Amino acid sequence: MCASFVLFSSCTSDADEKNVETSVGNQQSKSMVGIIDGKIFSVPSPYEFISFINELGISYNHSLINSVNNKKLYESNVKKCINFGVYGIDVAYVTVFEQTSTALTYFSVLKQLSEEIGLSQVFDAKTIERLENNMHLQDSLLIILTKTYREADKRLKNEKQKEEAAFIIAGSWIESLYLLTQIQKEKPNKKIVEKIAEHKYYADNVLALLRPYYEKSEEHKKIIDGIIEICYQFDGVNSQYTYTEPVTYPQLKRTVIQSDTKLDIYTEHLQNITIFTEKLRNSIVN
Amino acid sequence: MRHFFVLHFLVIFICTGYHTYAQKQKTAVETCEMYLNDGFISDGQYYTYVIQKDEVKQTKITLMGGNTYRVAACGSVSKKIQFSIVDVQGNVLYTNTNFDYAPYWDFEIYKTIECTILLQNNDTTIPTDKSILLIGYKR
Repeated sequence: MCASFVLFSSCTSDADEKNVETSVGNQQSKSMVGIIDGKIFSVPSPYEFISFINELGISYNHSLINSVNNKKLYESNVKKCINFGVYGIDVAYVTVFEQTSTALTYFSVLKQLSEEIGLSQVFDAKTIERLENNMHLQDSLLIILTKTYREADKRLKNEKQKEEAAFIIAGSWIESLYLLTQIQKEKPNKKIVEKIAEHKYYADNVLALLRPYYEKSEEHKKIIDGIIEICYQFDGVNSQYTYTEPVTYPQLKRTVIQSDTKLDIYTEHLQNITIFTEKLRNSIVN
Repeated sequence: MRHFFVLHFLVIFICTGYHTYAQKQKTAVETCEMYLNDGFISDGQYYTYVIQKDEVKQTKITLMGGNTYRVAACGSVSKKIQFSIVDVQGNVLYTNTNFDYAPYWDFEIYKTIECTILLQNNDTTIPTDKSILLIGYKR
C-alpha cells in the first residue's frame, strides 16, 4: 500500500495549482493569473487512435480485441464503465478495417452497457438509425462513435457521475495502449514506439482522474494499482521540449505551433509497459 | 394580501430569470458545437467550467503532431471569455485577447506537445459564468 502511494506521487504532474508567469514570444507580458483551479485533463479519443492505426498499413487481427462474449462477466459498475471504454476503442479498431458486421455487434454491446450504466439516452433511436444507415461508411461511423463518446462524457459530467466518466476514459486509454503494444510486439515499428511513448502524456492524466476513487473498493484499488505500475514505467520515458515561436495567421484564424518535444524510451521500459499493460488489460476484460 | 402579490411576483421573476439563464446555457453549448461542424470532429470530451471573477480554469492537453485542432470556448452570458494556450515552459502560444476574444481558433501542430488551456471570464460585470470548451480534430 505504501509503495502504491509512493508511485502515485511519482507519477503525478508537478504542475499543480500555482500562479503561472507567462510571456508571449519575445514580448514579455508577464501576468500573474490568480487562482488556478478545476484542472481537467485530456486523454486520447477513439478518433485520434484510429487516425494513427489507419496510417500504419497493418492488417486486421480479431484476436486482439475484447470478445463481446465477455460482456456477461461485467457485473460491477466499475467493470461495466471501464469495459465501455475498452469496447469503444475496439469499435474504432474494427471500423478502420471495415469489419462492418463486427462493428455493429460491438455497437450493440456498447448500447447494452450504456443502458446498464445509466447512459441509455446516448444510443437513442436516432443514433441507431444513423448507425444502420452508415455501416458502410467508415468516416461516418467514426463521427457517430466520437459524438456518442462526447454525449456520454457530457451526460456523465452533468449528472455528477464523474467516477463513471473517469473509468470509461481509463478503459479507452488502457485498450489503445494494449492494442499499440501488441501490434508493436508482432510487427515492430518506430512510429508505434513513438506513439506508445506519447501515452506518457496521458498516463498522469488518467491517474489523476482515478485517484479520488482509490480507497472505494478492492476492485478500484486493483485497477488503479495496475495503472500506477504502468505509469511508473512511463516515468522512465525522457522528454525534452524545445520552444519555437508560433506563427499566427489572423485572417485564417489559425496558429502554427512549431515547438517540439523529443521522447526517448528505453527497450526495458517498452517491454515492461507491454507486459504490465497486457496484465492489467486482461484482468479488466476477463 | 399586498405582500402575497409581491412574493408571487418575486417567485415568477426569479423562475423566469432562471429559465432564461438555463436557455442561455443551452445556447452556449449549441454555439460551441456549431463551431466544430465546419469539417472538425470532436475529441469526444465535453469540458464545462463555472468561472468566478478573477479565477482561471486550466485544462492540460496533449496536442498530437501532424494534426490540426480547433479549440472553441463559449460563455453562457459573457462575451469576453479569454482562452490561452500555454506550453510547459510558460510561453503563451496563443491568446484570443489579441483577436477580439475570437470564440474559436485553429492550431496546426508540427510535433506532439503538452500544453495547458487557460480559461477566464474578463467581463467584470458578470461575476460568475458557466463556460464550455470543445476541442476538435480536422477530418
